[in-house]
Amino acid sequence: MSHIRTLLKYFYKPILPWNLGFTLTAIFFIGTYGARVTGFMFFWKFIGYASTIFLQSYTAKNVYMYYRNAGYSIKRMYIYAFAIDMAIFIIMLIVLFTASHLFAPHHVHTKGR
Amino acid sequence: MYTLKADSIELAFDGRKILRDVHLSCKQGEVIGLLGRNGCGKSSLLKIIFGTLTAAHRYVSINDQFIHKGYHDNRIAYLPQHNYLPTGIRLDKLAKILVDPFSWDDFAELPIYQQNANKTAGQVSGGELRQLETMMIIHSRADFILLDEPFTHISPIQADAFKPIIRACAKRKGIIVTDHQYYNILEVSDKVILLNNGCTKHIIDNEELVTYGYLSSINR
Repeated sequence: MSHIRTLLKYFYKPILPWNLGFTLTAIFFIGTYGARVTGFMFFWKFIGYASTIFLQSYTAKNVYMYYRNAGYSIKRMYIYAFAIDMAIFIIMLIVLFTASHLFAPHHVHTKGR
Repeated sequence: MYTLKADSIELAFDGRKILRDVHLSCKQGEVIGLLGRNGCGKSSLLKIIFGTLTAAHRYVSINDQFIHKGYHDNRIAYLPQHNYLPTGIRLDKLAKILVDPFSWDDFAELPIYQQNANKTAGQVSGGELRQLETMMIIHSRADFILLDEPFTHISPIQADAFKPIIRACAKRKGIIVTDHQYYNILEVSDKVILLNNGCTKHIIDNEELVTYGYLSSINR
């Protein structure tokens, strides 16, 4: 159990760039089109997760045995990795919404009235 | 003292029954050699015990307690035929997670580890990587070790060096080992089981390997 953080780091490292691509794309579209596309962008993130599992099953399936021999199922590793990824995405959304709320022109205008 | 039991295992691919009447047991302190022709289901049996292959029917237990996934809580470790270490991470870091702290000193003294500890899996030769992967599994935390072709892809002298390590490991663990290098299996094992027509045959006399058509004759 004490090794789970290290194992997660090893597990997440190769899939980080792919998922980061989905995260940044989602943030870009939400930043451009506003909060109304947020729901679709969550769906977009889930497409990212599905494609990650699909790609990993072709390119890195052999290394699954390392994590199993460490005592962890692959399902559990993916759940932990995607939970961390989703948490990062939600934090980025909160920062984006907070920044757009604080620095939006209408906000300054309203405040001036 | 733990006992691993695999019973009533049935496996079929495309309607062809690969395993149909399989039962074996392995105690801690024992090395079981598993022999059989190509495609008879040796690797499949090990994967079923480990929990990574779904069988039509299976009963795997340790001390009569049903085990759903053998790898959960480090009960069983498995050396697959393929390389399994992630690339891009130093071997010493990977080893520290798999190797049992009680066995660490023995593992760290191995020349193959000392020569390659600071390298990654991609920086060592195929044979060296195979040795390291095998040693990590043998020195892992698991109570039971499944070795799928540990003598393949390594030189004869290294295979000879493995055997005392497997024997030493068997003082604390139960080991099931399979390989086509049957003479190594016969030498290292306490008991030999032959997989023949989907069934396990417990071999008492090595001459039975000829009788069941696994060997043409017993010689080395």
